[in-house]
Amino acid sequence: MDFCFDEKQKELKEAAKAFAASKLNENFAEREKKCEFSEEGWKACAEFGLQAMIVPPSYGGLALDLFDVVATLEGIGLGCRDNGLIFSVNAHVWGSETAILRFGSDTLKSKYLPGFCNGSIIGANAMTEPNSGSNVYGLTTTAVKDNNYYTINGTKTFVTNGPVADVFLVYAKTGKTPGFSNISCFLVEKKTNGIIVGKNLEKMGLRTSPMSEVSFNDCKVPAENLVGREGMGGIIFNDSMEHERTFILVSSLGIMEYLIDKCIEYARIRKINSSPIGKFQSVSNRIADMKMRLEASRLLIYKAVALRRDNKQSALDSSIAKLNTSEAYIKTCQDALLTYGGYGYMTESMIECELRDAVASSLYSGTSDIQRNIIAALLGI
Amino acid sequence: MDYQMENIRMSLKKFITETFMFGQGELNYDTPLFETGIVDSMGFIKLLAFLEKNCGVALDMSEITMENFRTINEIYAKIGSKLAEKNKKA
Repeated sequence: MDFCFDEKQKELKEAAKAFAASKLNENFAEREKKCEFSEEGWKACAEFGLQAMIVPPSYGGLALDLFDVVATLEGIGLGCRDNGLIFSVNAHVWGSETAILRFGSDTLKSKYLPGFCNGSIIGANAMTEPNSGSNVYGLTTTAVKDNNYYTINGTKTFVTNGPVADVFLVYAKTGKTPGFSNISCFLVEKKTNGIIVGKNLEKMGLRTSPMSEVSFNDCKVPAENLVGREGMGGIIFNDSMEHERTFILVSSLGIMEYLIDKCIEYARIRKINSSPIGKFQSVSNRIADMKMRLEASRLLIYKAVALRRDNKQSALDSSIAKLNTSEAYIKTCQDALLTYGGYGYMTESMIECELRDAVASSLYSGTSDIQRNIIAALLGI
Repeated sequence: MDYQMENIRMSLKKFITETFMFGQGELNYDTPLFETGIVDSMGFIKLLAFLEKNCGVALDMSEITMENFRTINEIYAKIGSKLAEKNKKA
């Protein structure tokens, strides 16, 4: 058991931090106010290789070891303040790219994965519906087969990357009734007739990650765009969610590390009655708690990643890691804000922005309530 | 008759009956588990965890299709081929 990065991974983390700090933060405050997605940032991420991390070289990827992926994403979290952009990259990689890589035909992989890796294609996962929410398998979108085509009808919402996506992974009912084994997954290009992409939904946080409703009206999709086989949508979605739960909060480890470093620095220089505030135990203990939460989250995520790397079941551990890390992340942002006091509440400090971004982590990839349900169910309750 | 495999089939049936059917109703080796609603999405994850813990076989989701995982007999066949593969490597 080794809990430390090796030299190569330390270098990856440092390189990712330096890249993010120099290339991804320009005009962030303005873009955040305007809910503006950074196309330049997306392209820069692709040039750096973020979208290509898990894909084999034969499809244009880098095939990084999973702990190299972790080191890279931690570094990105440390250096990048545009959490929305990184959320978009994560949604693209874990919600769309992974599903094509693991379940798509060779034709789909050859046609789309190179574009997914070099950033010329943006992917979006379209599962949630206006009336399904956490009951993901109660969806009403249908896909009816007619010779070499499926005709898709229905509406999806909270589609991350929706307004900028080139390709949607759409989950639709192919059986007569809803349910786990009656759902199939389709790759649908945005240019397909009958797709209507709604306006960018304004959010509390992650404002630079675009999100919208997407409607499919008699969309004819070639049968070869079926991902996996008919009826496998539930399995594919479960698999994507397990990947998301394992990896989507890795960058938040870097964000927590950044906030702790910032708080330590502030606690040393900010004085009250000539004494640095760090000398007050109410402040120093709070920072100690922040560090403790970060390290506990780190170990839980590393365990889930190790299970996945070793091809073992990671459902329980990925849910525990996701739940714990999201709560630690939110609390760390609240504690950073408290440490900075009134200044932390000011928009200018950008700490309130970190907190607004963090809140979403208790909702995406399955809410905290759903994670607790999964954990309880896997404990046999 | 391979007793180890037969034990696996029986313990799988017992697990499904007790966990998802609360000991009620009839289940045979060819009952469709998903189409009948006996196993749902959460049940699917529980089933994978059970197979890894009790049969020593870790199934990757990408190896599963609805055609090779619909019934106890199909799961049993899949486990059998995975165990054979594992023994061959050992």
